[in-house]
Amino acid sequence: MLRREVPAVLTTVMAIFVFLSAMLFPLEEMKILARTDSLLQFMGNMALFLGGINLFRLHSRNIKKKREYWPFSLWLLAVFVFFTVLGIVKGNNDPLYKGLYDALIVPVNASMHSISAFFLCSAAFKAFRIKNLDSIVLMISAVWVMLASVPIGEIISPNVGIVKDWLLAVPGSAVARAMANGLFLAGFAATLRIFLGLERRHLGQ
Amino acid sequence: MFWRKLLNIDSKIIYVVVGLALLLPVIKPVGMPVSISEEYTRRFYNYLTDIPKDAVVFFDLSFRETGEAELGSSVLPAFELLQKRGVKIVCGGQWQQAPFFMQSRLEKKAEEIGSVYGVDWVNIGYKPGGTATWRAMMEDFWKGAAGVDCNETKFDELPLMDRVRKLDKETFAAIVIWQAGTPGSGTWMQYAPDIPLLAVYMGGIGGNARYLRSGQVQAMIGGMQQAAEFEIITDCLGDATGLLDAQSLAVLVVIAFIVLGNISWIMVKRQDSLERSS
Repeated sequence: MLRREVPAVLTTVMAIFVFLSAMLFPLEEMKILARTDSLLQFMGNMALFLGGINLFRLHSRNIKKKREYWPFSLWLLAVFVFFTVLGIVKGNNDPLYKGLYDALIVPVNASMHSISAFFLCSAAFKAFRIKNLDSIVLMISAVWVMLASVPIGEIISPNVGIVKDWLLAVPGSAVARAMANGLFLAGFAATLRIFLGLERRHLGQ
Repeated sequence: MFWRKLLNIDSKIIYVVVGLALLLPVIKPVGMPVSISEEYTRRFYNYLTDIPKDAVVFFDLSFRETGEAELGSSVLPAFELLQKRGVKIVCGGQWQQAPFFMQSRLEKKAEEIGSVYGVDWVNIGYKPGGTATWRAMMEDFWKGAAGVDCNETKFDELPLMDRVRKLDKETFAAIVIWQAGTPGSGTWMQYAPDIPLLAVYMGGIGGNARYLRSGQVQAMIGGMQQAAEFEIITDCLGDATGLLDAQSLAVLVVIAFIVLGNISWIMVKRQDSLERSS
């Protein structure tokens, strides 16, 4: 009862409450959403706390059982503990904290992202095949937009940019909006199932 | 035989070619001409220059280190442009990284142009809690933002924050967002649709062009090219302009590989069918 029905009923009641307070004018004036927002902020912070505990448990188990790549788990926990303690004790503006972040995280993260350029080129060579009319249209528009996105396109012809702007503004916008609407409706349907208690996987059922 | 070999080329060779295409223009820049896009860059620039003196603008730095080259490069010119015109800036972010690592760059720029922290600009940093936090700031900015900036200085010690009591259209003349993904401009479109929104997108405008057509975003730029255009138009040359040659050559290499890959695939397919029929 406590593990199944109560959370499901709470979800449905809160969903109706928040939905109505967002939709109905008098409830909006009562600033009910502002109150539920504080609860959301609290829950967000608790989730961060739980995430930390979960991460610790998972990787401690990896180290304990000496699973494959366990030294990486050890490294992750060491960095996790070091940065957490440093951040709490010295604060975000401590020169060591800031210096380590600027000297390590910034360049490493940027480098990781840059590597995708190499994979992208290799994938384009090995997988981008013009097998039918659809893929021909896709390739022509992709090449066109790529060319127009760098100065070389302008050197070839000033019209390259005009066509690219049209591609993005008209067919690109129409498709993107259609997809956004589809995604929203699908998301709404999935949320509605949770609201009505039909979907209970988030409760571990 | 040649086409089959080419089709089965080792990925490492492709990596070397791409690496050279990216590296050579950095070592020896070509200096390709850059023209200013009227639809995007000029419109973005004009919107910023039309913001009245002494107004307050919110900079939403919603990206991480991966977007530093493309997005970070237009933050400083926009900052300089507005500060020199007497427009006040409050920075923050829906992503935790950029408000943190951009702080030292903004401080350096502010020192260069003589802007005073707390009077001309403030960085409130990243505030966790997602849209709930931003909605709370719309009710009460100080309470929603926990009353401290990114250096944990209290808002009542920062004179500019006296004017910033609510995240609404009466306080902010515009929101400028630099976004690398979600959460991003959607937050402002949904919860603050009456505050004019300007956006800088990573990787190009792409499907976001629809927001310009619908009027949900007043002006936008995207990708390295428009970041370089913005640097040129504001006369604040930086990373984007310097790296544009490398991006041009890399794009040419990608296109060349796509074309070569398809030619070799067609030739091998033709050869195979000929062998089968004979």
